[in-house]
Amino acid sequence: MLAARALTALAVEDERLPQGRPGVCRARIQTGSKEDLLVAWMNEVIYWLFTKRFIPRHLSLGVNDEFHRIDVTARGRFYKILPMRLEIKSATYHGIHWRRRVGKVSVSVIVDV
Amino acid sequence: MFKLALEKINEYCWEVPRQGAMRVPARVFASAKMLEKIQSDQALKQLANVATLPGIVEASLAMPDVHWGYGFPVGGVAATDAEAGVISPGGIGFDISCGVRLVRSALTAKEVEPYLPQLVDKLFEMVPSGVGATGPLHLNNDKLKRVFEGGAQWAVREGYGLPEDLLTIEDSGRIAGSDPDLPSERARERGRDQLGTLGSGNHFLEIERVDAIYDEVAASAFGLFKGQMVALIHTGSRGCGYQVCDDYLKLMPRTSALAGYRPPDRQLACAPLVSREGRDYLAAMAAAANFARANRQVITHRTREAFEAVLGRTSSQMGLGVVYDVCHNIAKIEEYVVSGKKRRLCVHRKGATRAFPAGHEEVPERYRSVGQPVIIPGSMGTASYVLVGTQDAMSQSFGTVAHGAGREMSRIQAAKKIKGEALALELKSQGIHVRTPSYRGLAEEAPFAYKDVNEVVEVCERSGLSRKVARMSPMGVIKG
Repeated sequence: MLAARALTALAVEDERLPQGRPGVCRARIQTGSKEDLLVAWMNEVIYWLFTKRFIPRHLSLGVNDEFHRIDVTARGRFYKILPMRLEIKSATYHGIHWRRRVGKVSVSVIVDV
Repeated sequence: MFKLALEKINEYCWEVPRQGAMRVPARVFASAKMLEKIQSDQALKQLANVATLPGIVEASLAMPDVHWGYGFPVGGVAATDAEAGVISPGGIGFDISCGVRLVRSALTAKEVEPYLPQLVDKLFEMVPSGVGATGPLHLNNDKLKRVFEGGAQWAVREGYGLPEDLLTIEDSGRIAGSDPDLPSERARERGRDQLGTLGSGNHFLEIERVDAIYDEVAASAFGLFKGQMVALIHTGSRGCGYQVCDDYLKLMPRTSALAGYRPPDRQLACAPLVSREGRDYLAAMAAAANFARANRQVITHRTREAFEAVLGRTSSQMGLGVVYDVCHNIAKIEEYVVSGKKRRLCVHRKGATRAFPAGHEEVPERYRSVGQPVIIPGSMGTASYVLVGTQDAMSQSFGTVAHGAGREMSRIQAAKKIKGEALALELKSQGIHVRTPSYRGLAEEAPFAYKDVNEVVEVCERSGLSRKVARMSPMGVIKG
């Protein structure tokens, strides 16, 4: 959810959001590693934001760590026009950096804009 | 900061000797002054990484505008053997076939000046720009397939432009080898509403004044004269190209392993050119490249319409014609003589422009006696240049030269230094009218965020990679 929230904050002018229509988007992502999974998930959110004009607000996640797979049901809103501040082409693998802290993990991902 | 040792080849060429997993050396075309800045980011390290690609020939190369990219540096060139080598989507970039088109006119800048504010407004209205902009066309799957196959030729057939436009577009507006079924459903969906749009970031449409001519013969062949008004269009394959790159980057780690290659950077993942995946990527890339060519063609048509609406004359009366259209993010199969032997190579150009010399069969017939036009945009407050390809570029850089000024400052740094509104006013005081859907985006593209384009062009000329033909300065800017 944090990755989706971070991308939305980066791309969308939240304060200028018009009224949207409630809706659901679903995705199943299966990859070969946790880096792949993170990049694929972020690219799924980029697709939702820029092509579907859908902002996810609540996620139900089924996570299978062993197979690097997630099943996502996202509830949020579809918009006719989405006020954007930044066009994100893609999440990249460049310099992905994982940091473990007590009870937390933080990750840096570079996106191509 | 990790620094690689460089050996001086000559005043404008420097080499990282082959070491470690590098199969060939890495070479940079730059002045000593530029080199310091080039060494301040990861571009050289990336260039050395590119030199590890299976089947790479001669050297991994960097143009004077090189800077840090994803996997490959922007401004990087790599030629791999067409049979024994690989293709890497990272060596082309996300914005497949992003490129520049120069449109000439019979008008002088002085004639256009009184109309400039209305003209900029009209262009802003007719050529959608900004994040997620959608265009005048909605393409169903059938039409999209025809765009993927036909490129600018499709656009002209549909009435977006003139048949003679195609005579001076790289590959006559259509790159061969496209498979219109290969871009994924998602790539089609992302491109469906975006034909005829500029997009955001460094993409633009500018009205320019030709303010210097350096080579009268070439300028005359290109239809350029001092004081002339011209238009410059910079955009690419939009969401469609980004998705094609994404789709194949996902596949390539497996195919890199099949080639026995463990890339030092995940974004250098690749596939043997003779493999199914390699061939498929080339064909999907060609489809996206054709989308980009159609995009610039539709924008040219809309530009003509804007001029007609504001100046009240037909575009043929105003002499609006295509000087050239050349992309700077692409891989192409080309022939070169390497160590005395003719070889078929896959030349990756990422943020680098093809620059073929006089006499080359791929230079349009009307320019064949002078060479291929190369268009080097600066920033919205500085000069842009038209150069011409040389024979030296064929032996030094696989017929390649720089693609622009090259970023020197990050977007965040630039936006911290100036507000977009203040920048628009500053440019207006210099006689440059700007329209943008995003002042934040404008600030990120401030002229000071870029290297000195004059210096980039000087190095291109002094190193022999190209010759200066004309310089242009901006009068009106539509910034994405």
